[in-house]
Amino acid sequence: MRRRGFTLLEILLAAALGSLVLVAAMGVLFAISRADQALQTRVAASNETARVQRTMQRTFTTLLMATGSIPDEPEAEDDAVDDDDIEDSDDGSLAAVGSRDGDAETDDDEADESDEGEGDDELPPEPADFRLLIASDPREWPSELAMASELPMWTGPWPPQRLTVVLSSEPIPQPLQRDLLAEAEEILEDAEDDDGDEERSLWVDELISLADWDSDDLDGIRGSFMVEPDVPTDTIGQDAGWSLWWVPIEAEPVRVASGIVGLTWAVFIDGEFTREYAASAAEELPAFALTELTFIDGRELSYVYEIGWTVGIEPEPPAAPEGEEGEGDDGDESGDDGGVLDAEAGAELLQQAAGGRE
Amino acid sequence: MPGLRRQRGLRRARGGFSFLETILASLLLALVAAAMASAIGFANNMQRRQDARLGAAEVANRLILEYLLDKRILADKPLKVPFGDDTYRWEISRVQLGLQPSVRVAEGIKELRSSGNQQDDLLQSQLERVTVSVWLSEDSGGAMTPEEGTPVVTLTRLVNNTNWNRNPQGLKVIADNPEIVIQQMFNQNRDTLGTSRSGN
Repeated sequence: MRRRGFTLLEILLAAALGSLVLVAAMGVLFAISRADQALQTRVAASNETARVQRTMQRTFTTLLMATGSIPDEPEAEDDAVDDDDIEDSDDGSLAAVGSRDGDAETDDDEADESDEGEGDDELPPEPADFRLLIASDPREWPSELAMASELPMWTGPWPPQRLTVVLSSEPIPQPLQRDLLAEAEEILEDAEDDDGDEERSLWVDELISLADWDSDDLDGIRGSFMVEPDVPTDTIGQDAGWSLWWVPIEAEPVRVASGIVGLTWAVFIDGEFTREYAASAAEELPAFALTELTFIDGRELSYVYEIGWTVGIEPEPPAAPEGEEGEGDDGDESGDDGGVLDAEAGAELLQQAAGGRE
Repeated sequence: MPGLRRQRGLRRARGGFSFLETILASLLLALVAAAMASAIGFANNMQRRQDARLGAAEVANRLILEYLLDKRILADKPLKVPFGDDTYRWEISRVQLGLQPSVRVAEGIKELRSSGNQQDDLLQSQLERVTVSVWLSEDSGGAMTPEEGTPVVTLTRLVNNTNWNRNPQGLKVIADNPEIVIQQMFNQNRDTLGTSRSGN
């Protein structure tokens, strides 16, 4: 008996149906994969949000304040610096914040007058004198117009703010720090493979190499929260924005969050929020602190934190080994040649080296 | 073989789906689609509720901080508070806490009283329990009162009313308005049951 085979039409139909089933199956698989990726991104975003919340809460509740105000006492009626004063200053620098203590205007003329007229015994307060300092990042930034083409999108105050604090304990728990550092190293490796991002990776590279010594024996920590452009990477699953870094003087910088497009710090004092503030002693502390973050994926965080503090002496960084003394005087430290700093040089390096632009 | 030929003919004639099959298939498809739509809607709703709860938690946190800074602030605060894209309603209740004496202390008090020493306020506590509830307002899909299903967050905090130095700014408020201390002491002696302000 002759066995009948399939006709051409049957084969074509079968092939078409098979293809349809395959395409449908693949579609379902891809949809599941996309959903999984979206879920992972969401979980990562949620973890990141929680991390920022915890970190800032630890920061604002573990402030280590000085026993007294800095010598240059503020005039009674001008506690907070107006935003206008800051914007009028040439560089939006920390000098403007120091001006809370009596010299609010930061015009060149007045700065010169104070430099020349007051004598050596009354030096203006240095950033390193303050234990809580919210100010514009003093590094050189492109103008707002140029920024749009040179850097990732930014919707917060420009130039970005920097928060410098002295804390009685690490703002980021050690196990979390280890995870974040491992992640940062992974990002650096990715960035090194990509020639187009050399400049950005250098920023982060300098952050990572800021200091090498172990700070376990220190009781207090001085450091800054600052933003840097993200190193584009696929590991985060989002476009490049900016990263928030915790940069302690005596330890490795840690990236707290990425994909940021706007960041505002403010403190509530005398019945209003102000974005520029400096405090040294406990009695100068504000009522609470506000952190607002906007992410590139549309997340918006707005947290108000209670202020908690202890009073104590800020520990000195470890002394420089013999033969390296005086290195801090030339201002050329990059932080990758031993990373030994005195307090002032440390604060200076914190300002300069994190950007890696000088 | 005429019978077999007739059977084949019948089979060939039976092409396509019957009415019942079509209805069943449509029904099944509709069920699957409805289940999927329901699941997606549920997930979105959960997400929305979670966001609303987070917002309510932050509003509650801010209200308590404001209360700690200056107890008078909340008296004038609007009962609907905008936060993010939503508005929230809130209520606050305060209860003065008393201390429950141990047996030994209770005996001591009894002895004191029997000796003519009438110190009724011996165990008057300086602690106050402040509870703030915040929920999504009716303008944002919530309700006027914290009903079941409305995203609501309740924060409770024990406050030591004699800790004037809780916050430098709080101390400043008291220094500028010393009547706060007097009023608080007066209220403490007069009212140990509690007061509340409701946003509904």
